[in-house]
Amino acid sequence: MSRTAVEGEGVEGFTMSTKKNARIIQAPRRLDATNAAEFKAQVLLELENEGSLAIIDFSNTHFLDSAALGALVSILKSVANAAGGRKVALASLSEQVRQLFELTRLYRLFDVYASASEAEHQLKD
Amino acid sequence: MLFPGEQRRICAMSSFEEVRSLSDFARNACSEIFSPDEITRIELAIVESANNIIKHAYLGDSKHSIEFIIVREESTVKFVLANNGVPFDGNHLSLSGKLDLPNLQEVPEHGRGLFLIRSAMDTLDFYREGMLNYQVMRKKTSQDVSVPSPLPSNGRPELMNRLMTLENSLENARNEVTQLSDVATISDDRLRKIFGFAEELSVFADSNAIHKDIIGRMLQITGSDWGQLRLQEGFQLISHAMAGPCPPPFNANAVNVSDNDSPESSASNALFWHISGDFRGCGYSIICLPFVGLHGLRGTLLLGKNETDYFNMSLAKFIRALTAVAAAIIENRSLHTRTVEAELARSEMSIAVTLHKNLISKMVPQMPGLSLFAGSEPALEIGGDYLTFHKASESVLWFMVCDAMGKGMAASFFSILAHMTFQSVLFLHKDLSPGELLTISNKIMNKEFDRFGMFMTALAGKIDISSGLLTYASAGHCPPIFFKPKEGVELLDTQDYMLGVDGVTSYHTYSMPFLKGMRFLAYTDGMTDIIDPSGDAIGVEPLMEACEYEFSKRDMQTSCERILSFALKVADPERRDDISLIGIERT
Repeated sequence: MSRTAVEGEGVEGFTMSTKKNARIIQAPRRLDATNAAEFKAQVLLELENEGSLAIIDFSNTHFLDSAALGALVSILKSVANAAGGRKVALASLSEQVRQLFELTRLYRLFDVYASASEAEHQLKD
Repeated sequence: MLFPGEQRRICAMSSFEEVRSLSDFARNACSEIFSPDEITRIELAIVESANNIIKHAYLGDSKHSIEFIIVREESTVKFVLANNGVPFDGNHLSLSGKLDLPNLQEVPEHGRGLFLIRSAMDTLDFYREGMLNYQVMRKKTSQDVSVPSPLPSNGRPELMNRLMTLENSLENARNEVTQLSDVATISDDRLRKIFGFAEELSVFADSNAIHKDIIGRMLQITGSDWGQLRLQEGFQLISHAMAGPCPPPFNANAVNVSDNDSPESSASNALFWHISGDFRGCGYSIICLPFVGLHGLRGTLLLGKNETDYFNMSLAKFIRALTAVAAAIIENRSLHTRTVEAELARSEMSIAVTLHKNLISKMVPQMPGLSLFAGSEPALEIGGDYLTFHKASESVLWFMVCDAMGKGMAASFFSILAHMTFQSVLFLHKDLSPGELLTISNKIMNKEFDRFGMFMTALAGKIDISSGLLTYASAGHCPPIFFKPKEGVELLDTQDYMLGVDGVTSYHTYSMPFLKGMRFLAYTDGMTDIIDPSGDAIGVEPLMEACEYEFSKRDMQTSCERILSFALKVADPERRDDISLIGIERT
């Protein structure tokens, strides 16, 4: 297994790594209006350059606002519209983040997994 | 902790990076009022509200300010965000119907903010008043928080009333003794002892001595061998006095309880235990009586006899009457102690007030070229507002207006701390700007502020008459009012956090010409937080209107006196904060 970690450009706590066929994107501790746009751009760039499966790992994330939710919806729409069967999944949602997805009913749109490993395992085909 | 009636305020610039300071502020103010889950949702609501203001009211421009006020009401906490941008009415906007769209491409990327605010809060309202847009949210408090009462300034009458009530209860107890139907069985000698007992025990004696004396006299009067007096507050034993040799060990199983259900026993309010086993050759009898004070059960009195003539009903009634007298004496003593303590606290408070008034001089210096006014009226005897002038040279005058969080003694301690810090910094650094003064002072005081969860707003200003320049800096303080002849009044810019929010804040200095006829008015939020009949704060507009009117007609001194006097007249004395203002005119 090769694993490289690259610090995201200007987004605090935002790291990327490759795990087998998936691109793991570690969401920052706080994803809000200050960094949501940059986060979205970075995820889309990663998907464009690096592969067909992106897993956004929220294990370190304790706070999301509506700007972050908007960015995630936008990412999902872009992936759905892109050619080449690209997928994006969410993993390791903290209790606060999970509640937010339930409240806004966005959990119905996303593939949500308990961990990045599980997401990779389930989506490898 | 934010107590009912208290409020906190902060100003932030209209940039997304500053929004975090508002949500942190809410988290700190409400941490002991709401559950962690509720705090997280409140934080989200504040972030969404501030983001909306930046996007919709200020159209992304980061040079404006957002004022954030948290008010603890009786059963709710009120969160108010104010801005002076484009009006936004979210009262009728809704996301409902867009949450369950089946087609991904139709799902909106934006517009969830208001939905999240409504989900987090119990009420949400938008309205516009004067030049300001207000967003008001309320959240019901999930728990009752007991509020420690401040030292009551009117405590003495209450204590005196209670003392008088006790006097009556003492008199009733005495009457009860004399009215006992079987009093004939009590010797005159014993009755004399009863009244002697009540009169000799002065309230000025030591509490423990009184308790021991009571139990000793009880043994003597009732002919008992052993006695125990236990006084409690709730389940906590606060006093325990015993006399005589201990009775044999007994517990509920070993004791033969008798007579407790008899009508006589109920009438005397006593419990009897007759211990079957031998004690020095004979049985043992114990009587237990409730020790009832003014506010209910205070403890128990136990008396024991190792004679064969056990406690009978006549003696039980007599002991009950004695117990009532003793309970009244003990309560009297306790209230007397509290009265003395309250008097001592009053005296100490008076010294503190005098010290505070004299330590921080509100004297207005004589300064050629300037007309100055300073006025302050604390809500309690002593307050957290702090105003002072500092004449650095013949042409340079410093002025400070500060408002420590809360009011009363605690706030005044911090105003003295701030005063000494400002004085020291100005003594050591002669050529500081107001922003530098606040930056250095905040670094020095931050640790102490942080330890006690204290914040302070401050406005520091400096006038250099020789250069005709006025500079000022604000640490979360109310924006000052500036008056130019022929142009009228305007509200000046302010920004930056309050003192005590963090130790690394760098405070900005604003600079402007201060020429003949111009006036500068700084004030504390007690002036703008006067509650109108509908229950809301009046805001800054009435003050601006008053300045516009007064400044165009009267001199600085008279204008400020009239404004302060009017504010004190309209403010509800029960609910108002400290009110202070400084006025400066270039003459």
